[in-house]
Amino acid sequence: MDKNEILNQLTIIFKKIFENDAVILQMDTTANDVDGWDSLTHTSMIVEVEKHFSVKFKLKEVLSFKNVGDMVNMIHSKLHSV
Amino acid sequence: MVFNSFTFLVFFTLFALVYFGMKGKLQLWWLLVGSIVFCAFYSLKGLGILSALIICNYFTGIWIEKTIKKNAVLLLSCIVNLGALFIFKYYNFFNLEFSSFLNGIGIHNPLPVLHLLVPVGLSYFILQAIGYNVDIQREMEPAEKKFLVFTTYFLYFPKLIQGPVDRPRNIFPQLYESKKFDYNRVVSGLKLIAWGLIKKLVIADRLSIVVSQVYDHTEQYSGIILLVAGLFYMVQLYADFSGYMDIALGVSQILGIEIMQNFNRPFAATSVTDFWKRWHISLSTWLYEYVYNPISLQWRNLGNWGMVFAIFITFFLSGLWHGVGWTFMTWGLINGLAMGYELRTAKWRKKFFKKMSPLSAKYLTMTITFVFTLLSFTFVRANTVSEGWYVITHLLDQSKLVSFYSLGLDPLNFILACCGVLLLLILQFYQPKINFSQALTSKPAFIRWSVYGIIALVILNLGILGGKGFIYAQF
Repeated sequence: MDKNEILNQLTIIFKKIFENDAVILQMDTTANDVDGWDSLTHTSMIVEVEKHFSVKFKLKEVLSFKNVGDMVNMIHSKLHSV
Repeated sequence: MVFNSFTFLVFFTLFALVYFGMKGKLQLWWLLVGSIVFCAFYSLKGLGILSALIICNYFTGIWIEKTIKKNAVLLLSCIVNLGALFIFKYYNFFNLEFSSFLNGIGIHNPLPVLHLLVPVGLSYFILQAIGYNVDIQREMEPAEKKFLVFTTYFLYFPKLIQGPVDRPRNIFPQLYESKKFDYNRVVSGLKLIAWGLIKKLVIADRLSIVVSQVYDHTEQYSGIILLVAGLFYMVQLYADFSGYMDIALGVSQILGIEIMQNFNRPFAATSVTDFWKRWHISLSTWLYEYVYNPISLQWRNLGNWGMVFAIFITFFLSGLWHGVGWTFMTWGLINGLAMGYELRTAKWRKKFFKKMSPLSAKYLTMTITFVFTLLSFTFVRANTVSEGWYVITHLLDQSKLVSFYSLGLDPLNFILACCGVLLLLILQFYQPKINFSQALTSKPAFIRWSVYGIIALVILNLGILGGKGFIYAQF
């Protein structure tokens, strides 16, 4: 799965979790750019992403995400290291 | 040397005059000297303790960056920081509680009572120091190698006494730049200071007279008197803290350093969760980054319950941080429970409010949040938990009503206090489309200076002058 495909699938997950059909994700999208992405929904989103891609993030990895691009890169590296 | 004192006015004027005559490293040294003088005004011992903590954190930061045992060194730095906070702020409280417990079973407590003065701004300092070390451990930020920059950040006087709980990463880069005198920036900073002084001296300190009268004799009052005192306290706390923040932001803006904003119309919040995104933002975001987020992510497999536990722990710690005593812990727990409830019922509430018109839903949720906040702040001001409970349970009791004018303010001053409350609440719910400060800038000099003159007259004539301290400084 390439990074564009990961980004597309993340967009679907974000729309569902944040109940916001207007979500358009870019690699540099941050929590400030998405309505509904706050401290409480962040954890639910991480759980859903892990379930969807069958990956497990370490706490340190999740805390280091500064934007969607960081998450895409992390998922990509985990999928390709299996 | 509180911000609302003549001493600070003289200090800051002289400081700023010299500051803008310097540049580069010399300007930074001067900033440090000014901050040391400011801190020394409060207590030389306090300055000594903060200096020792600065040295510790400077070295632990570099150590964490270099070592592979990052967790161990971070733990060490947390023990040093939290240990200092415990000894100065919490030791006597817990020791007293421990003594009561031991006395109850007939044992003498061998631990001594310590007579220590809490260094100014220690609670705020410790949070920033822990955040700094954690950022390095997470490899998100490098350690600051320049001791001058590091020390100036931690002693920086506009935010020393009661925050904001800023992030070093926001300020360090600013300290490397020379600051030139900028007329527009200085005028904008002075306007913020003036607005902060109005909030503090004209509104907060006037409201405090009624609040003290009622809350120091709670059982003499009931019904509307307790409700008005509760409302006055909530607005007093806001006017006092946000007034301080405006002065701190203004002073810092004049010096050319941007610090964090702490408020965003908190009483317009539509849920408790929303309230905490608008009130004491620098603390809320700190708690989110360094307490809630790691715990909720660690327990993410527990689903919503993991997040509820994380919220609960976060707010318990928030209550504990705010003050020593069961009242603060109660307040923290009530807020934690409310946020846990909001999290668990988010979907149900969304469905429920969808049945109403958006405007009705907005005003209903705003009112519920406003009333909840008012009631929960009762525990912050009450001297004991039982007094706070008395206030809440006697709001509808009409047996101990007295004249409003017997609560410490004469009729004119009481009406002025009510006008202050009304003004601040209107500004919360109705955000003017016009920015008065900017609109004034484009007016002719005659109009501008007339307005400045009126503001000065309002502060001097209606302000409660006397250098009364700020509430959040005690936290």
